[in-house]
Amino acid sequence: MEIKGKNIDEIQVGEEISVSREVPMNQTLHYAEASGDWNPLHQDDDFARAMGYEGKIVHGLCTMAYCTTLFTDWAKDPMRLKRLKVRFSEPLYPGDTITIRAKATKREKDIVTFDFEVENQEGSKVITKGEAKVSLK
Amino acid sequence: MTNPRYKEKKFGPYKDEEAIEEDGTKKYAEAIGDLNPLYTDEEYAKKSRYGSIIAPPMYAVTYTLSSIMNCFTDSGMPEVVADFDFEISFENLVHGEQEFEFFKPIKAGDEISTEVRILNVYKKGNLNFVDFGTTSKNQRGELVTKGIMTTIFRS
Repeated sequence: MEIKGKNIDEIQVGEEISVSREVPMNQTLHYAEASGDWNPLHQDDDFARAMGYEGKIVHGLCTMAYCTTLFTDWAKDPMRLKRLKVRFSEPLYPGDTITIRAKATKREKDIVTFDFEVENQEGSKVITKGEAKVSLK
Repeated sequence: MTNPRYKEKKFGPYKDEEAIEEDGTKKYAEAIGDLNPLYTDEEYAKKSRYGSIIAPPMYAVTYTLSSIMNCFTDSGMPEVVADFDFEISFENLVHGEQEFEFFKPIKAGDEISTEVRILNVYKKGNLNFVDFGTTSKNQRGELVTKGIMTTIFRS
């Protein structure tokens, strides 16, 4: 997945990095197998509809994991990601396309703070109030 | 409204029954579509500064969620929630927010223990919020991750 924006050696406060990706149709099954979270909200369309959703929804923590990948790929080392925080706002469905947009808001020594959001193809905000701290070294 | 005793109570530490396995961390990386060779390629990872395959950061959810699930059935929980004016159960929680801090990489063979605390209990309208704090250490007692899981329960 191609990350847009400046690389880690060039980023300045106020600049954005972003990535887009499609959520695989079998995502919720694979995520449940790997994480052990078998909540039917993520597996059973009828159950999810009864809860007021359009169908089974993607695990919020899976969407959060997509966000970690943006930062760990960008930083080129997973342990440079020091902190990640998200608010789960709107549901995400298999087959949706998301864009993760992160804006560098602060730099203190070698730590850059990003604010970020995740939107689907309709502009619905799946994750809001995202915050990440990434070490430049 | 709420029992301040929750602030004093520590749940756990809960230790995972099995040590971390490479199959599990690889599977997690593949499930989230993150094919960073540090997570999936033994030869590549061996030559890296980590010396072996590491888990993707968000693998932390596996032991974090299981420890929070354990705390709901902990014998110390009824006393803590006795004065809450709403019911809590793992089945009815809505996951509102999640925060993680990452301190040390997780590798195969690690045995993770997680202590859970209730950090805050508060209301917004008819929704009740409970923040669970998790502190996870490896078998050497090194801090690996800290988390805050904000959960929401209806009145």
